[in-house]
Amino acid sequence: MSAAGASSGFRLLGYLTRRLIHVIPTMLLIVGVNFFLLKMAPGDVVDVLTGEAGGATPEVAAMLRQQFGLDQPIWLQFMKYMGNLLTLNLGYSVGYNDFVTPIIFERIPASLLLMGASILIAVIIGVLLGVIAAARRGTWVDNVINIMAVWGFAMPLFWLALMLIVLFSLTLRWFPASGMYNVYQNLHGWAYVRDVAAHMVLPVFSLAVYYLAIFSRITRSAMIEVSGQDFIRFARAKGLSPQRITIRHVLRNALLPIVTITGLQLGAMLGGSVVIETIFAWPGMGRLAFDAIFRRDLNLLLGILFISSFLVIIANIVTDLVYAWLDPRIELK
Amino acid sequence: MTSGWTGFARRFSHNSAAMFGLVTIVLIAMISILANVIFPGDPLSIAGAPFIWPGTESAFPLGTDVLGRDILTGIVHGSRVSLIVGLTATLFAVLLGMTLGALAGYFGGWVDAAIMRLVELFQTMPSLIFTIVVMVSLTPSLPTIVLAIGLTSWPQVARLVRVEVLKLREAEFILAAEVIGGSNTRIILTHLFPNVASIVVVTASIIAAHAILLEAAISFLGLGDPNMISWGSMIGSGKEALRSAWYMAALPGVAIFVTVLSLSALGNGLNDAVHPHGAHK
Amino acid sequence: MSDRSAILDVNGLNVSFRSASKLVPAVRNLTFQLNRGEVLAIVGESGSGKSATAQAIMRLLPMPPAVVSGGHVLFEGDDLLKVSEKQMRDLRGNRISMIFQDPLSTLNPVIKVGDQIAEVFVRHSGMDWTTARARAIDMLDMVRIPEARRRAEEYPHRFSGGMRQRVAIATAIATKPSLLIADEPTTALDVTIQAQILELIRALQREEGMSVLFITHDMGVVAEMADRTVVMYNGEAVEENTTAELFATPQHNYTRALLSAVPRLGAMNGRQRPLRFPAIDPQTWSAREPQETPDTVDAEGAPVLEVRNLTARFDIRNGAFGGVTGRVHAVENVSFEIRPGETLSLVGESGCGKSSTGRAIARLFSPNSGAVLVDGTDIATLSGKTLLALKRKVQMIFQDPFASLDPRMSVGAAIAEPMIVHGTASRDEIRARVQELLRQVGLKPEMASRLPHEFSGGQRQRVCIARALALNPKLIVADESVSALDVSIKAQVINLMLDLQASLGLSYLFISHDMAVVERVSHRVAVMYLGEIVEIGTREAVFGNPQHPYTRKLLSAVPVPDPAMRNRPRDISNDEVKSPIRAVDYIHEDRGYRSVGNGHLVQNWGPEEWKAA
Repeated sequence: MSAAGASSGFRLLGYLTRRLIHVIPTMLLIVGVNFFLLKMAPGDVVDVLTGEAGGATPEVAAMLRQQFGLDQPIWLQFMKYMGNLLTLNLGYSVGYNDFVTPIIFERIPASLLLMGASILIAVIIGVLLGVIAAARRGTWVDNVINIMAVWGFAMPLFWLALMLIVLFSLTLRWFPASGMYNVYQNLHGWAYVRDVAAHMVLPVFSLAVYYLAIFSRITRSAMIEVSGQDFIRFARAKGLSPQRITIRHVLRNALLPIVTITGLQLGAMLGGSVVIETIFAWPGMGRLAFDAIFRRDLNLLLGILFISSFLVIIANIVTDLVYAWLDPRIELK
Repeated sequence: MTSGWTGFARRFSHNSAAMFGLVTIVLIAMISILANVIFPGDPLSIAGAPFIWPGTESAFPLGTDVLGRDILTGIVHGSRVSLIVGLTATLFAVLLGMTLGALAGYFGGWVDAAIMRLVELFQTMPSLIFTIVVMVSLTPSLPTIVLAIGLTSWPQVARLVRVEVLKLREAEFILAAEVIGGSNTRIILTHLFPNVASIVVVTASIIAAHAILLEAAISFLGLGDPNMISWGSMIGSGKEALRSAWYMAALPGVAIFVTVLSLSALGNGLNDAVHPHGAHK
Repeated sequence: MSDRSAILDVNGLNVSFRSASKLVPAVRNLTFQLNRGEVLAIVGESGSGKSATAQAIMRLLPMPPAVVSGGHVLFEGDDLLKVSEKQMRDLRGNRISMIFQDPLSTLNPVIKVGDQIAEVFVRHSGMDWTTARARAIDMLDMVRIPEARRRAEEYPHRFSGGMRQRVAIATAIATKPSLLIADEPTTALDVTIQAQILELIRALQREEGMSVLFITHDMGVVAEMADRTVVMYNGEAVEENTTAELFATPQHNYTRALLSAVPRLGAMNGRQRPLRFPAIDPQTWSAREPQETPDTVDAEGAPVLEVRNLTARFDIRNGAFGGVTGRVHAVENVSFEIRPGETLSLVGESGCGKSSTGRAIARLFSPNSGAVLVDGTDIATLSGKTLLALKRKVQMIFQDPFASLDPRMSVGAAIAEPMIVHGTASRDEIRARVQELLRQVGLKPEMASRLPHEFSGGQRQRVCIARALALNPKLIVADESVSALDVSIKAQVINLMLDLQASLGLSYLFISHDMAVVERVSHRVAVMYLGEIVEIGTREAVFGNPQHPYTRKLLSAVPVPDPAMRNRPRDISNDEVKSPIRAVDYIHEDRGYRSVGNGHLVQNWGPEEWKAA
């Protein structure tokens, strides 16, 4: 079996390589969009690249001019810009007094923690609710879950977050509403973990609600659709138990569209994290974006756009791999 | 005799949620059109003392905000921004998405590949972050918001239309039209578009709901059109007074919630009316 | 012989479906018995209630829309209508099994084939998974799937339709049930594959002593398979008898009408020209003698259509950069001609290229090479206005009457469309012509404003014919145009086509897989296999004196609606229908033809390709 394992490992590597190559044109287009927006912005490009009008020291300005080739013809500028971006040289931020790239990278883990927890909750609870709603289709259980889902879509994310703060933080005082951990106490080990967890409850829940609604709806309709297919009828004709049919036959097939949807939601979640991190003062990339808005630091924003797009691409590749693993009809070529 | 239409109308009118959605949206639209008539005056101007709670003074039924602006006037006038953005961004997204999606699905080949690349591009960039970047690069105003939101919404329409067109492409009535000798333009306009229209209309309501939420988020973050009051910007300013006067943030949010809810109900109703238990044969 | 006791006793079964607020009956007061070890066929057209009966017996109908009531369904002592759901689950897949119509959607795509069979053993025979999987391999052997051990580890998408139906059969007979219900199990399969599956079911039925309830619409299959037969119409059983007596002396008028509408392979011996089906009186179902068709063929005239060395290949693109990984050799070096007033049929199974040939002729795509001469002009390479003018002479009707019409256009608009596109007439002229065409195809002119979903399948096909006639074409390509229609409707539409041929001098390129129908309507026949014509000639020559081994194989596989012919010697191999997909570097070799006289040509074949026929 090890030979087969090795060869499938090679196939996987080949698939990954091909996928990454496939991604390059899209990345180039994103670079193009960035470049276009950079040029469209009012003011001197150096000002934009440093995020502050006239704030760059002459040395920094000269370095940027040379790195980004600002005195040269536009196509050469674009090549240089592309080169810089692809080597993750995203400019310099005077406001933060540092290069953009490390600023962003420092914030990514906090955002990933937030989004990871949110999507986990959204998927697990959402799929569960969807399965229940489909199984109890037409009953009050289904209706309640449906209404909850519809309400979950319609609520603006930031409004929900604020209302939750009012209720759970200000009134009931159950959970903190700001930051990732208690800055006044210097906690370590389990106490630290518990503290972070307490700080995570409200932001994660706010972020998760919308996606929970989506997953429960998608799961419900996927389960219903698969249930109507011929092979489910055949499974029933075999006399299998309803539990086995629901899980091994229906859900297993319904997972496919669910996985597809997951990939598409990650991009939206990055947007949502901007708002959530702003409200809860969570030290992630989203909060950074808000600060950048405040300062009109376009370069930092472009950097965030670029890096978050890249994260979406990686997430899509992972989703594709999971899909290919689940669906034997897809042969990794 | 188009029994297709009467059947559709019957199914739709029997769906109470959908009817509620339709009525509410029409109501909101009327209020926003008549905003200057029923609530004259600039909602951004200071009308009275700040921090008045709703229900305490008859002149300000919904209270005032941190600067003393009337919240009810703000909500009524704010509906304009939401509806205008919702409508125009959706129109833009639908027209662009339907055209590109149909072309991609019908012609295939490099046309399809190129259009799908564009779709992928706009779906990879997170919509809120892209919109923020656009708003910061250009100056924040209503047209730029509409442009940015439209650009992030059209891929969804294009994808859907493309899939439908791919299915229809091989349908025998399309082949029959080709055998007869119909030109590509004729086939696309006479046969494809009408059969895709129903799914586009349903998607349009989802896009509109999403557009309104996105606009609210942008305004909340302070990137909206500074000359017009928007529900999002009201919540943004209300955030500062959350501890003492949480109604400032709550009330405009309810307005957004009701609007988006109605649009969703409308969209679901349309979907069910068009497809009763799957496609009608 | 079989033990005479009844294993299934259905008495007074009623099944209705709730639609909006009405209760639509599907099965009315049905009574019949199935004896131990016997094969009972329930035969009927669509809407007869035969499928609903089968699913009601298994209690597989979704109960909110379906309402099952009345009488009893006794099986081995239990009334299936009254046992608890848990008891029913213990019976299903264990004592009673069922296989369904579409093999391509019958198996779960994400579970290995072996596991789907093993599931039954684990559920009903109390085995553990290891033992169950081993037994599953045995079952695959039993249904004659080669390399069973390896195949059990594969997923359904790697199996062809026929193979998947075998897997379904293996699953169904795994626990040696007393009763197997087969709901149209071969309807979706190619003719040669159908013969294999029917033979398999017969063999297994004998070996296991199983009773079989066989649902079908095909009288040929009934004759091949069933000891006794029940004929259903509109939810009721109209006749029940042993199969031999039913065919020999049908009692009920409907049975007689049904039998008269079924073309019998070999019945055309001695006849020169195509034969209409007997006209059936819709009230009494009495059948009149079929009318002879007049001689419509203009033997001296120039051919309406000449196809020379037509070749069409489609690239298969895969991989990240869209590279070509294979090629479908759909049509290879096909040549034939059709004279005015003549019907040439293209017959063959899936992948033989008959449909692609038809579509190339109707210029739905450009062929790779070859010439398609319509009235002397080659349209294969034309485009623009010249092509448009010639398209008027060649029109096409398709298989699916539901999909052939734009659901949003009235039928009048659909029929008018060709005239609008070609700008041949004014609005008033068009309106008048639409009405005339509707009359010509046997519909009422007032129907012009109705939408397609308001018509039945047969009526829609008539509308499609009217649309095809709008431009006064010389040739109509009929691509499986009657295959999706019920037996009696099929007969009517064919009669219509033959009448139009007589009155308008039309030629037809009749594409079909149904040999018996082809025998009835054709002047000349071409048999296709893997994109090539393997045999072509007059109908009498090809059907009466088939030369090519594939033609013979095809003819011997067709079920004959005559029970006396059941045990005739036949050559049913277990070969799959080969696919015309080849590697990118495959070079096609022409094999050449030899003449058997009088326009009858046969392709040369190598000795290793076909077993001695």
